[in-house]
Amino acid sequence: MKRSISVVSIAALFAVLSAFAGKVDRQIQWWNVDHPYQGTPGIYQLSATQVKMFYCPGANNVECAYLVNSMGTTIKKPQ
Amino acid sequence: MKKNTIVEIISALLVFLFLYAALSKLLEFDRFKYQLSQSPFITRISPMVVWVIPISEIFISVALLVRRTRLAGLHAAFFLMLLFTGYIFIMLRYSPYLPCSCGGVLAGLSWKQHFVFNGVFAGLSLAGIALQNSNRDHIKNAFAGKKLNT
Repeated sequence: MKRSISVVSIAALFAVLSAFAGKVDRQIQWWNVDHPYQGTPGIYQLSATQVKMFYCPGANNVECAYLVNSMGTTIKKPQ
Repeated sequence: MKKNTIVEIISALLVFLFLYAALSKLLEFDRFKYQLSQSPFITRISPMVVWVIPISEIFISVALLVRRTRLAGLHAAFFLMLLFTGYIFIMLRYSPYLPCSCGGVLAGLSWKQHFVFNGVFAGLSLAGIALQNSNRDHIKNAFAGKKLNT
C-alpha cells in the first residue's frame, strides 16, 4: 500500500519538476514560409506564440510556419 | 502482475500527464490563452475554457493521488481524454486551419500524433476503471465471504 501510493506521488513530483524544467527551454525551431530569417535562412528559434505574433497575425487560413521537427504542426495566417 | 499494481502504474502515468499539462499551461498562461483564442470552435468560450482545463487537470491528478477517490479520478480522466480526443478529431476533420495549443513537450507532436496519444491515454483510463472495478468487486466478495464464515 505504502509503496503503491509513492509510485503515484513520485509521478506527480516528476510532473512538477518537468513542467518547471521545460519552462526554462521553451524555444522551438520553426521554419517560416514567408519571412526567411537572416543568418540561418528560414529557420529560427522561437516559441509558437512568438512566431504567431510576429509573422502570422490574425485568424489563420494559409500556412505561415511549421515546426522543423514535426511537419504536421503548422501555424497559419489570413489569406 | 497484480491488478492493483497495474492500476497504480496507470494512475501514475495519468497523474504525470495531467499535472505536467496543467502546470505547463499555467506557467505560460498568456501563451495558452492566446493559442486557445485562435481555436476556431471555442473562440467564444475560450476565456472560460482557459481556466477550466488546467483546474480540471489538477483536480483529476489529486483524485488519482488519493486511493479513496482514485476510481472517480479514473472516470474523470477518461471523460477528459475522450473530450480532448473528440476535439482533435473535429479539428482534423472540419477545421480550416490548425492552431497550436499544446503545453510543454506535447507541442512537438503533430495533431495526428496528438490524436493517437490522447486515444492511448483514454484507453489506459478505461482499462484502469475496469481493473479498479474488478478489484473492488473482489474485495467486496472476499469481505462478504468472511462475514458468512463468521
